[in-house]
Amino acid sequence: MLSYVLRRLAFTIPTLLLVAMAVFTLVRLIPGDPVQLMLGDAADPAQVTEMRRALGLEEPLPVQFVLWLGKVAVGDLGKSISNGLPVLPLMIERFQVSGLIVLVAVFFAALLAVPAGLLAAWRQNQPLDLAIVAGATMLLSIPTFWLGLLLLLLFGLKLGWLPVVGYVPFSENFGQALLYIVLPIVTLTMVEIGVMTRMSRAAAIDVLRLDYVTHARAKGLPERRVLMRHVLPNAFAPTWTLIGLILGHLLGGIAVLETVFTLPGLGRLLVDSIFARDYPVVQGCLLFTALIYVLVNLVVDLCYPLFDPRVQAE
Amino acid sequence: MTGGRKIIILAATLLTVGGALAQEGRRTDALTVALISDIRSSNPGVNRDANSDTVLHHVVEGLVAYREDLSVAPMLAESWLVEDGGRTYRFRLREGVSFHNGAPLTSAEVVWSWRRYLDPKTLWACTRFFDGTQGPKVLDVEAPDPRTVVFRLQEASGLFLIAMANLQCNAAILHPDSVGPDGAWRAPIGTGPYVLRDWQRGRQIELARFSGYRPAEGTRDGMAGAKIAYAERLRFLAITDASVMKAALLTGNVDVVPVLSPNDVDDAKARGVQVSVQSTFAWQVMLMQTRDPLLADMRMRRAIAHAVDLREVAQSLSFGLAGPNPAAVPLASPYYGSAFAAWPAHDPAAAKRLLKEAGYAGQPLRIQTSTRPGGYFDAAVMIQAMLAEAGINAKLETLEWATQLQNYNTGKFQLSSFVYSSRLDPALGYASLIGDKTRFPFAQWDDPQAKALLDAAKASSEPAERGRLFASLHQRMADAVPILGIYNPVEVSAAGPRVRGYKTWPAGNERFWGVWKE
Repeated sequence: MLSYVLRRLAFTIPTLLLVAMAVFTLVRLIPGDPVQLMLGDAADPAQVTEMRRALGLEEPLPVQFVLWLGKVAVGDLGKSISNGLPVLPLMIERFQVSGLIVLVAVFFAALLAVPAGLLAAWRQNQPLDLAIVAGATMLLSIPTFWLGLLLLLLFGLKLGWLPVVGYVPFSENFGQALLYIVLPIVTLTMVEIGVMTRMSRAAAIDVLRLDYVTHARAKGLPERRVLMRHVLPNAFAPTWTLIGLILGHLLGGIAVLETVFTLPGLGRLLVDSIFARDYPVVQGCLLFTALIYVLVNLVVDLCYPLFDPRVQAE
Repeated sequence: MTGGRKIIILAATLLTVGGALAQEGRRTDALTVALISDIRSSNPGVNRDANSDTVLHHVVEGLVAYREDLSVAPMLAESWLVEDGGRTYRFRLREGVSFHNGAPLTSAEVVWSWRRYLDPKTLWACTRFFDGTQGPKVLDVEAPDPRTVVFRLQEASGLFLIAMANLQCNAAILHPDSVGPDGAWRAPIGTGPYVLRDWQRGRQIELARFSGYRPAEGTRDGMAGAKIAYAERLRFLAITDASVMKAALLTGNVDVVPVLSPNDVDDAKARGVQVSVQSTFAWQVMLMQTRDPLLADMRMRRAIAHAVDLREVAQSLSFGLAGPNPAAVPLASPYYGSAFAAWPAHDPAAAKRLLKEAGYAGQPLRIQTSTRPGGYFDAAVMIQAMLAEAGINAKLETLEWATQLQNYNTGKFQLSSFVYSSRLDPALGYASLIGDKTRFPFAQWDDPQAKALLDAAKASSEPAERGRLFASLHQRMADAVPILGIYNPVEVSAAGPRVRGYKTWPAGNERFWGVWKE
């Protein structure tokens, strides 16, 4: 197992190297100059050149890449062009916000979606199934920003139960933090429930058709036991893979949600940095996202045998 | 003591006590203000944007500042003398001013601050106004005594004090402890009515009232005058989404929203929100590349000017809150007058005539635009339709803002829907337009005679003479049409029902001294 983990981790190095090269090149292929964006329409050419030189942007691109990569190798992702702050602590600070919301939301979404999908599959083509499928499809179809705004309007503006803007870290004030984070988590949970329910239902339908389930029923096992003991563990494996993919995707940033709820998360940092052509931050965020993706999928793969004994790590 | 004197003393006492009581009644725990994004840095005038300026103007002050009427007033300076034919400025500092660390303000800190700004390594946004590039060259800054600072210039200039008061430059006087021993920026130790207490990046900035602040004489007047801080804390929240910003105002989560969409004005008023509409010094335009084979012909450019109904575009973009302005002198500028309304009238028939004369045969003209907030796209769409009506085949090219800005800087466009940021003095506005396109591709108007008029306006400090020069420049621009000026966008800001004392002003930057909550 340990050698498997180490091998998988070793494979991440060329992956990250490729990501680094692609990100570095692609970001610079986009037209637009970070210094001109900072100085705006009142920029003086001499000043632009001076600032570009000070930021190291006047060096040839291969030199910039090698310098950057050398620093990355020792854990230094450079400094933001926009505000001069070191990229790594900035990203970690922002990731804490996004990470918490994503983990909690995905946990609750899985908690609700997996049984819902199982129930729908069990009662396939019956009113309960139709209701669950309709609900899941509706949630799938609603754009995150719209659902977020609707919840803000209802719970913030109309009912006045929850604050509309802002964010308080849990380390600062637990009660306040909870109030600020409820709506983003609810929104993300609702959005993710849709896709997970569909996947869970489809997987459960496949399993329910297998001979061993018929055999279990023929043995006279109660339906609840058939579902919980024989269907759920086998149907959960594909959903677990999906959860891994969703986690990897969301941990890389939930920019829309963060914009609607004014959360200082990683997604907003990345989007703002792309618009500002803040190369070090964009490179850092994308590299970090790639790393998260790889690690989350590694964890998912390692957990797989827990849900499906047929799958071994080797 | 006579009866009359007793009455005067009694009245004065009552006024003082009354004033103190009124001030006490205005004490507010916190004012929460929305910002459209986080600030760039806490380093005044260096790594800046409009949000950074707004916040830092509460923390730091310069020697001079703009009044409401956009004339220049003393701030940390008590007065100044202009000597040596305009080449020496001698500032006398106000007494009793302290920095946030308790140190008294002396000429040493002024000299340190200005030498730091003038050092190219500081990367100050406004070095060009003081190094001879776009303004006078400052030869030296001296401190003959603790309350006197002397600036020696290479040549006389009418722009020196204007640039010194420039809001974007934010030439603040800082205590040297604002930077570390290695010269690296730490935090602003200024003399303003608020101290920067906490900056949680991407989230909020909190300022605390500076108890040692000693307001200047007079009343609040632009960025000058007395700055009375009623709110103990100022919280600036970064809210990027406009609808969330509005919702936050309506729920009372924020007290002031500096940018409200003009189409929300009626709704906001109906909900008890106080709405202010202010004409800004920004200038929405359609850039025209005069080196383009088609647009090099003045008849083509004049045809475009005749084809576009500026009033309709301005009214539509501002939801009826603003009128047109084809001139680089803003409507809110003290220099503005009827002479600046001169422009080819909206006349599609005249446009068609000119097109025929120019031999235009339907060649496509590309209008570059972006979906950046500020009406770039809407203006382009409206103008495209108006040009089509006059027989001009214009096509839209929607770009991302960074790309459009790069094209502006390199002159790579035929037409471009663009907004110039605020320039409070018309000379600075014209300086952005006029220049040699070979050396400065972002220049729009390559005309040596216009350059001569601009240079004369820059050198002059006589308002009447400057007004005449600006009028001549505009008349020349109306003839050549090197650019199509549309209007000065309005800024709609909103304050909650309990907010008092909040007032916008032509320069646009928000001020929260003199503001309280009932």
